[in-house]
Amino acid sequence: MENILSVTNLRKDYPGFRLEMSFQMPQGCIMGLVGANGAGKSTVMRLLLGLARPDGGELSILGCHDLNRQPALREEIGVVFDECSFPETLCPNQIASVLGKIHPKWDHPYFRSLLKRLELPEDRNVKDLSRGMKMKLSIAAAMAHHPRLLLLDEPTSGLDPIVRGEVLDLFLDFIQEEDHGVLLSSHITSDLEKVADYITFVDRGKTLLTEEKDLLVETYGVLKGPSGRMGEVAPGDAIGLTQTGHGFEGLVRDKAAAAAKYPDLVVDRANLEEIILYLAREGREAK
Amino acid sequence: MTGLILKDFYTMKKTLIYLGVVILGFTAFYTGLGDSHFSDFFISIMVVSIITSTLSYDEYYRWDRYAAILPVSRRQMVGAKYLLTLVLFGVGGVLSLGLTVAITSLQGRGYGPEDFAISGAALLVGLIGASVVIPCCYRYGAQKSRFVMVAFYGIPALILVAGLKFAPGLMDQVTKVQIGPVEFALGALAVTAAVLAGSFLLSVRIMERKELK
Repeated sequence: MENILSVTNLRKDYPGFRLEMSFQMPQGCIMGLVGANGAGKSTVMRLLLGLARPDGGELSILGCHDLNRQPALREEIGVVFDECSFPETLCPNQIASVLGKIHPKWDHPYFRSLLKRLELPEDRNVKDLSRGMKMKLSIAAAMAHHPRLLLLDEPTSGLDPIVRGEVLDLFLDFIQEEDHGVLLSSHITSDLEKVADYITFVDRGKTLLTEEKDLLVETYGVLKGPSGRMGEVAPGDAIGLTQTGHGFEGLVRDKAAAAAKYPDLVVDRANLEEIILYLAREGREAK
Repeated sequence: MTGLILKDFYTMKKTLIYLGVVILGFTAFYTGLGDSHFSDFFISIMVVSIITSTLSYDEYYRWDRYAAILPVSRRQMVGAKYLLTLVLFGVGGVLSLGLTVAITSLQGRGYGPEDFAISGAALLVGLIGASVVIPCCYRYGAQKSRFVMVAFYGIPALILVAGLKFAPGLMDQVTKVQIGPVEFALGALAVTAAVLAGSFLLSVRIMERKELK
């Protein structure tokens, strides 16, 4: 499959922070970009969009290395930032008039249908919308010109679970076209577990993991046992081995191998949140 | 680019209506005091203020970051703001002309070349003011640039007042410089156009180098 996004040793230096990332995103899939606040998720989005200049490495977005040299290509991209960028005195109808004059492929009926689907009023000013409604408006505006690629920075934060579900369904519908792609940054690992095909985990500016989600969930596991047997686990076999109230637990990269090596201990399925937490802990301990 | 300008009009719609009322009110007041050119300079200053306000709103809502992900170049983003400036000065000029013609008619003296020169000068000074303020807004932000705007109008006014008070002879010499009205008008237009073009190129340069957060 062709990569719709590619980032190779992409570097950006700020005082006290260095971003150094690599990942590839094939078309026809949703990639979840996960990491703590300040990990570098928004920075990589800004670099991809040409809002900031990289200090090293390479990036490719829809085959283009610098969107500032090909602004017309932005017609193929829909973006949602972590906060609404529309002036508060505008209503969705006016926003559609503005964006309709900027996007050659803007689809007014589709925008209205998205507003209806997301239960947004067409004529209420942005200042009268809740945070969740503003986010939904940003999502509708990002999709109404039929882009191929969506770059979404925390689009589901501030949304209640029901609306989050509706929005995630929208993304799943969007990805039905095989040349489409979604890069979705989020803290909410349950959302990513639901929709993402790939996960890239970034911590303190570094890519700690980039992998197919199903493979992650199938292969990683949580090794558990009573406190007294923690010493039996060989160093390096489990990540972030810690005592808990009921015994000990740690993450293993190969669930099947761990089960074979430690038949008397329990190896449970690891969910995405556990994988992320353990890997983050390992990364920080290594430093 | 029309979309970007439309956004500014939507954003400033209420302010423009409010300012229209204020301009009419103040013009009526100053006309009563015998000043027939108050509206020229007031409109000129207000237009610069409106432009600064649109840039201030852009900053507040982080609109520039959003516009930069739309299929427009940074040059077009800046171009839209300068086009808006010209449109507003055009509308302001027509309004200013209409008001001054009406006022001079009411005063029973008729609209003359001197009135036209004063109205034109007010507009050109405003355009030069906008040319100074816009790049400052892109570089330092709209709030800091309001001080630049105050300085732009304030410093020459202070120099003029100080000159009249402390060096009246020098001021007399300045007013004795003989330039034909046509040459003066063309020169003023050329200088304003050059300053505006330079300002545009500087703003484009600032925006193209700017990292948008």
